[in-house]
Amino acid sequence: MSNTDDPQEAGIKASAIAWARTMYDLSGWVWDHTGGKLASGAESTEATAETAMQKMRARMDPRPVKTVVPPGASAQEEAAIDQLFADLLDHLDTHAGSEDLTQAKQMFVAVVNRVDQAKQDIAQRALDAKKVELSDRLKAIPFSTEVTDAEARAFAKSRSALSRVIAGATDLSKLEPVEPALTKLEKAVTAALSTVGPRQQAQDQITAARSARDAMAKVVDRGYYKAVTDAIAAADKALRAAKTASEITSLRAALKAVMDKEGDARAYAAEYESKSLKVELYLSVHAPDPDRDNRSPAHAAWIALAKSAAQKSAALDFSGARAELAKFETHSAVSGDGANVSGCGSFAAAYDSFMANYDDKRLFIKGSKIRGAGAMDADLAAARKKGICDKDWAAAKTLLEDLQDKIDKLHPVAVEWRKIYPLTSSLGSSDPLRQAVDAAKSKLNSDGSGDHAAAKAALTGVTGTERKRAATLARLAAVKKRVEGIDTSAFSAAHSHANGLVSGVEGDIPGDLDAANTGLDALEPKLDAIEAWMPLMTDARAARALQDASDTYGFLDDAITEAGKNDYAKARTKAAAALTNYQLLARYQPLRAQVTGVRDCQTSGTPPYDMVDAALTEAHDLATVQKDLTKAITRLQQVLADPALAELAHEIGLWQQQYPRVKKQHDKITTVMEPAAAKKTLTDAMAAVEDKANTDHDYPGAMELLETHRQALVAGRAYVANRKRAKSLKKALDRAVATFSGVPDVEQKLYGHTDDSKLRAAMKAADDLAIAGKVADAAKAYAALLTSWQGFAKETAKLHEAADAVGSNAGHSIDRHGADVTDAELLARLTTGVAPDGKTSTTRASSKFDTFEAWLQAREEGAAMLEQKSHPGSSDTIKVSDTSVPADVNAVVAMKAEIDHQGPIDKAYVGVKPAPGVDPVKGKIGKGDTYETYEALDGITRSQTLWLFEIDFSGLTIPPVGHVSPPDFRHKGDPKAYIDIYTTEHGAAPASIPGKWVMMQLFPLVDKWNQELQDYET
Amino acid sequence: MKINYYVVRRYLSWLTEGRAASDPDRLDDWESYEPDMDQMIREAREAGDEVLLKRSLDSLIADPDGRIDAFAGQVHGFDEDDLVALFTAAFDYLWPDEMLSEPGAGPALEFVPMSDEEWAARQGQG
Repeated sequence: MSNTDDPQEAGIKASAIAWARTMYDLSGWVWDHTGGKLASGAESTEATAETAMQKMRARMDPRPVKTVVPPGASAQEEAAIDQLFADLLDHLDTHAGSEDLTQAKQMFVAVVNRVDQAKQDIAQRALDAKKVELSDRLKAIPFSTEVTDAEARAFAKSRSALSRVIAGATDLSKLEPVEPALTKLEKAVTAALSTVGPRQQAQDQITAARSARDAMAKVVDRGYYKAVTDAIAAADKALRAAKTASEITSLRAALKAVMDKEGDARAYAAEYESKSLKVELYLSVHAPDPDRDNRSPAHAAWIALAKSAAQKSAALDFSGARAELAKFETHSAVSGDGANVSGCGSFAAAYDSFMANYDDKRLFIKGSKIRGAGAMDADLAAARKKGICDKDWAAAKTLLEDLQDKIDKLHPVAVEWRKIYPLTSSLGSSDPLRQAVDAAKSKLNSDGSGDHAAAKAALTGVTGTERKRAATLARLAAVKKRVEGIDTSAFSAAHSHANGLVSGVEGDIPGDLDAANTGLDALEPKLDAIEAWMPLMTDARAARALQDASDTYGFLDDAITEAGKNDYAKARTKAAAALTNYQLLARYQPLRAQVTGVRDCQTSGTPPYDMVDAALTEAHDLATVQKDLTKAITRLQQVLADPALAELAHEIGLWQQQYPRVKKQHDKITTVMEPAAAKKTLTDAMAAVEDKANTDHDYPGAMELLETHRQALVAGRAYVANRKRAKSLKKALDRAVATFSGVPDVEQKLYGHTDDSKLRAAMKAADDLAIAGKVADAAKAYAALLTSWQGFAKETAKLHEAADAVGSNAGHSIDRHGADVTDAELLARLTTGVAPDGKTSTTRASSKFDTFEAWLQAREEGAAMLEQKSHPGSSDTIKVSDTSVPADVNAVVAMKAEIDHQGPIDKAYVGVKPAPGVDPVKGKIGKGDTYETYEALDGITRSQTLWLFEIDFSGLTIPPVGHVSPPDFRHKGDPKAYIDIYTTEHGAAPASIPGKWVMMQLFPLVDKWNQELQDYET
Repeated sequence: MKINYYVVRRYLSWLTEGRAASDPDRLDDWESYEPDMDQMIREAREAGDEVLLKRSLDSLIADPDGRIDAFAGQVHGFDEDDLVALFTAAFDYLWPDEMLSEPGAGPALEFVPMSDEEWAARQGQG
């Protein structure tokens, strides 16, 4: 035997030896079976004197090993070999006397060859069988899209690698490493699949926790809110890192431990609110602050205790938190006045009770426009002021009780009033309904007092017919309001249809009220159907625009058809079905693109190509003809599950996932990128990326290029943002130099030189870098340039602010949102209401520009937007420097704009939960205008500006009828007021309206900024 | 029904971030907001959104809890009561003959941030 480990090689050697033995034997030597050695034919002849044929025949018994049917031979092989051997024996027997062995030798060789062939075939069959066995095992490993991205990629690579080894193996030894690798993969997939459920459950738990946090954000105290926020962040991080089910179980338990405390936290928050309100009431009367920025010792003590309590609550120690709050009444800063906390609390409790039991009724009355409605706010304010401002808690409670009494009496009247009053605006004074309303009105006083019983009787005392008419009219009015809610642009046909039905009903009133009510009976369910159909239809339209903009699939056709027939119930069902299909289409289309990519990577006409192409054809048929997207998706997933294509398919999927994101970013940057040569460096790079994928079908290579390009875009974005800012800044400096030409050495102050030549040279140098393809360097050059211009920007900004402030409330943007504002000042404005300029100015979001350059850029771009506008009837554009507007009631006197800075400009804090508050001046009580909990934001990219033309009334003195004396604030933005007053005073209309443009507002826009996505929500 | 939050915010910002809201001495004087109300309705009418604006105000006033403060803007810390009062004043000023819905029974509108494209698609015919 061979000493080699290679069974194939050993087999070949064995065959060679056997063959040599055969040849040796047949050429005169035979194998001596008795001695196990070769013996010469001559020796044999001498011993037996037999013929050569007889000698050979004798050697065939027993049958030589090399002619024996090998183990594993098929019946056919066995029969063939045996037949050849039998033919040989027959030949030897038939020609026993012959000395000519030529044919016998050939027949012997044929037997041996057939045996060897059989052995090779047996080995190949064994190899094939093993390959099939291993392939079947590989294919049996579950394919799932539910595992993590990293797992999916690793599994796809392993599946394809094993598939390649199996297909390429030429003997069994090549397959030996496959088995352990398969076992390893099976275990890994099993382990990954075992985490799919728990991972999804954990994800759902985190999502639910986020929703719960948002829902409780305005209820629970800041401590628990922080605990929840931190727990969610920790769970999120742990889930991303988790590899095993037990790790997921642990993180879920940790999150649950915090979320399970919500009930306790809510209970504590209710106590905290109640206590806090009592304390605020107490403080407002017994220990008022000198101002918001300078707290009284008692208030400072409360702030400290509340902070300490929040820390306890963040640690889920609500008992400890309560204990901290309880310390207030006996705190040294409170001393003897502490007892008054309870006194204030008595009013607070009465107020709480009022708000819980009467405020809805109060608002109902207020909204009814009944006589006395106007007193609803005033009476409540009076009660609050009596306590909070006048410190007369007993009288305050009495006023509150008086108001309750008034509401008790007025509310039943208002209920009847609401049934009739809205119907009467177009009725003549002799109409019985109008008379009933007028009669009720006459029984009530403007403060809501009066003969409530009589007022109600007037309203309910209309005759049976009139009552019926009123009820019918009320139904009609309600229906009309609903019809108005059918958007005329989005649902014009439905609107017309409903309007037509309404007109039909309307025609029956007052002549045939029964017919009108029958009509309404029929109309109301139709409106129900329309109202149920519209939201689904708008959702489906949005889905269609996103998934099937060219309407290839026509999923909404049926819904449109049914709506065209005014069958909105059916239309709703069809729209719901369409919506489901669009949701499936959102899965099908990327899958189809992925599988198409796989096909295009195969050589046309090869089995893999044909296999994938067939899948695509079948899926297309399922999707478009049979409209069964679920089956179409399943058909395509079969391609992804094929181990031979798994890795390629995964890489294509990855590409198709990431390419659109990078492309979107690329387009956003290159659309605004200048100069063209700089833009070309990025567009060429993107074209190379796309070629790699779409032409070369080299997706791994394309992915590498895409990542490189993504990094280049980071520099590109910085370049675009910095250049845009520099350009705007330069324009702003130019504008300032022109505007403030009277300022000594203004060029030197704002350009740093006698002219702008140095600034222009610096910008050109940065552009030259970009043109040379050095976009990152150009971005840095612009950044450096902006830094070097900071002084000019700050100087210019202050000049503008000072000019705006003259005779106006404008000119405070830098003080509150400028680059010099600190984080502490931003937060203080949110939590105390004290703005960075020291003035009281509460806000829901406190934000600042990171740099003066960004501030000035925003101002300049806002000014540029204003200067694109014209007054009605004029082709001339407005100038910021204009000192008058046309004497036209529709003259442009305000402009609001958003500025996209293309890059981050800001840091901000946004309020979440208002702090309980008491306003001792206005007598307000409840949710304050400062915030107890907040979120920190950064990266904000937009700002908002408001430009106003402030009319100068200083030359006018005589108020016309209907106007209060100028300069009343309202008139600063009211051209009509100026024209009226001027006309009254001068007997003729003015030629123009004097005043000036000011930038009233400029702040970074935090509204709907998503900190996680670093973008605005859409 | 889903309504584009940004569209409504844009109109209401004339009230919460306009001329009157910028003057600390006029914050509670709703009459001072009338030029801003005029500006708001002018823009809404030009865009064909008057009914949308009216229904949005009605919806927010009738059901303010947890919704109305999203429209507070950044200029002043209007609380929910302030916003209800301001928006009510605007409604009464702009549509004096119409009555607000009863509390809790306003138009069922959901204010959702969405792109201009999505909003246009939702409003599209067909």
